Amino acid sequence: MIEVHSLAKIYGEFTAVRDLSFTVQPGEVTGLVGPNGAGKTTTLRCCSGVIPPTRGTVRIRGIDLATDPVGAKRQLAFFPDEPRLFEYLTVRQHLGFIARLYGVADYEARAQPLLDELEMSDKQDLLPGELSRGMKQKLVIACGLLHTPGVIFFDEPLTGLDPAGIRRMKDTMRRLAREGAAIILSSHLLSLLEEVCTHVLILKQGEKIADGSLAEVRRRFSELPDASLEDAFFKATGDDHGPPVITPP
Amino acid sequence: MTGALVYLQLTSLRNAVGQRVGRLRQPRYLIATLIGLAYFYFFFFRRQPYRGAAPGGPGVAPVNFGLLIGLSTAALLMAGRILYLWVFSAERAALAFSEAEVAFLFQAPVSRRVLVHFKLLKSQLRILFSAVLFSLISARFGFLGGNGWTHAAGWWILLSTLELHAIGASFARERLLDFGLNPARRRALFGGALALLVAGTWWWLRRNVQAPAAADLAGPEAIIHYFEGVLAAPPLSWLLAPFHWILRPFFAPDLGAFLRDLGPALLVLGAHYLWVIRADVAFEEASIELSRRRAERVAAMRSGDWRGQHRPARRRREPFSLRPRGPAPLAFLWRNLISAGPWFYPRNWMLLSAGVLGVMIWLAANPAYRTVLAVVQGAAVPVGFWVLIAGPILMRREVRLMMQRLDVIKTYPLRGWQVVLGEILAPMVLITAAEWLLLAVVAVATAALTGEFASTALRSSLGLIGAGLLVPPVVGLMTGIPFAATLYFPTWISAANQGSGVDAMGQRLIFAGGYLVVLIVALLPAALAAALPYFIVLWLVETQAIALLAGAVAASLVLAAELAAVIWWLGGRYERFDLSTELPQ
Repeated sequence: MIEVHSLAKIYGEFTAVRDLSFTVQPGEVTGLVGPNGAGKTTTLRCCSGVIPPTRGTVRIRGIDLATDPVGAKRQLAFFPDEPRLFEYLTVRQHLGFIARLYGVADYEARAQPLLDELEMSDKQDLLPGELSRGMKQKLVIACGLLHTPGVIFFDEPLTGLDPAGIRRMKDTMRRLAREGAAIILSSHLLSLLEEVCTHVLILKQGEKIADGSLAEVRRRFSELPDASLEDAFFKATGDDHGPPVITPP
Repeated sequence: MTGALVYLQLTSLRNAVGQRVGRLRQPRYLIATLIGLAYFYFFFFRRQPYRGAAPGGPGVAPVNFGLLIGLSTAALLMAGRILYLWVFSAERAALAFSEAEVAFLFQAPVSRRVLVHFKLLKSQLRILFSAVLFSLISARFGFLGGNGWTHAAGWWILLSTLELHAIGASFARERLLDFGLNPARRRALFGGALALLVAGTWWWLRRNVQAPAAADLAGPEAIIHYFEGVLAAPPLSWLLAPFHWILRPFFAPDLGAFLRDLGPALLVLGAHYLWVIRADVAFEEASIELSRRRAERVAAMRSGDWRGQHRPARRRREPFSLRPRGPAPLAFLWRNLISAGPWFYPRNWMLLSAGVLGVMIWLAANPAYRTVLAVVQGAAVPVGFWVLIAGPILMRREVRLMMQRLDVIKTYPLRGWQVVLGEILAPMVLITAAEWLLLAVVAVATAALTGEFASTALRSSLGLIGAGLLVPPVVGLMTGIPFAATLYFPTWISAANQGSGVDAMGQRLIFAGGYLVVLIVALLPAALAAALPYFIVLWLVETQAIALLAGAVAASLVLAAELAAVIWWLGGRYERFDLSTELPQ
């Protein structure tokens, strides 16, 4: 479970995130959406312990991230939008390295099914330079899931993936939620959130505009019974007309 | 269209200068710029120019290098460059454009000739800057003749001609490729022609030039006079003439000679310009590839790869087996040793060390090799200092790579001190291993050179152990300083590492000064701690080597405690480090 209470991140005079509170229960996938500059990445980074919040508390499966960062981080995995790998470590060596950091004694037994699922079993001795972007993304996922995290953060997980990779990523997220992980997924792709998320949290200028189940948010921000998340998003963020249409001169 | 490209170039230049001037409002750039300017001032303007030893003064008597010798040496260097371009280079016709220029200009309605002009205009900025900088250096050597202005003009003509020739040669190679002359055939053809030329010249020299007599080799002046005679006679003089025309303005002793020599030089330069501008060669494809490679190289250098070459990585076996349970810092060591490469793996290093020491002991056992030992001993000490300095450089690279991945590393379930120790371990282990080997080499050489090997072996061994004990904590502290600098002054360090220009130079100087101060402060307590046991043991046993060992043990304990405190302190700083506010975006 992820519990965020009164989270704030302030840079000098600028407030990136203001008094944010929400909870993500095990098995829930919460979509984090908002216009550019809404504070999505800052929120994700604060919740995953990458940067310290200015105020507020974040608890990961009941462990306070500020007082016991090591204990809290053992429970989570953070997947940034860009797969950053070590140039000279093969796929197998990446997993060995992560296993040592997280103390996963039986990592070889755990890694094999993961690699099988991600169709990487025959690529264990390849270096990142020999992998496609999708494969690199898969390796990052395998590394992140090796210690069976209960809390997972995804930042724009579909960037650069091909259609097959996108489908596989969506399936992975759904499976992890079924297995009881609490997931936060930040993306601009509202259709992806509609497909994968159970809940949604809309941010604007660092403040929470709405949160709740998908159905609740849709109901709250649109009168139409078949309104999409996109309709609700633009209504919630006060941009009913959506982005301007650009026509060539 | 040319106007647009000139506008692009001038506006970019103006904005770049404006940005640099504008940031002088920030004290760190202002201070760094002032220090950088002071460095340039004292280096270029305040030092006495080198004119050779004063007549009758101490030192080596000045040699009057003949103009022809200077010209011909420079001409041969130039010929070597041109030879490379025509025979060995496999580069296709490519003009160096930035990725943005490729993206915007290659699809714009611009002719090739305009693009070539733009490229030439752009390269002129670099050439002018280089010419001024080189002239500041070359004008210091009074025996070259001329002054700063003639040297600057001479450098400009030389560099511009070489630039144009490189472009023209690449166009010509492309043309030859279109005619079916692939690089291998071209090398054979041009290499064969060159071999014929060299053989012909050699044959002529053998027939027409007398071998130097004893009088010709009587001294430097006589040797120079002999070779001037050889170079002044055809066909060598004919072969070197075009190079001489280019180089003569640089070597002109006065303004009159400079103006006289300027005409032929500008003629050759103009011919090169016409050659390049009239060639209508498809350079776009190769230029796109070149711009991509250049962008990769810049990215690699900014990410800490000092070679700036991004070669595909190859699989490497592991330095040791990493078990899934155990101290986390060892995982960092394991990963960084794989990055460093197999040469630095424990087994390979031990084999190398055993081999080196075996050779040293064999040399020490044979009195005939004393001179070799003395040379090795003399070389090992500066090499040891150089290796010691390499530690912080390695560390800066590691920290830079770490900063790039900080959003991932920060999610690892580790305390800050574990991450800091992990990142410090690899440079510390590598430098310590190298220093120990060098110490052992010096110890063997010293034992052999200072007397009977058997009687001095004990003293050398004690010295070796004492110095060896000091190395790991000293190296650890030296690598910890750049780590601390990056964590406490990330924007300073980033600018000093990645920037260029006077302010970046100033920032590097400030960093170097701060580094030395911190190092001295760190070493001071250890030196004080070493003094007491040293004097006590010396008083008790009256043996210098044992007293030194006692002092080294005490100093290494203090240094180790300092290192542990530094790692702990940096760990705390790492945990509080907020990459969203402290890292330059």
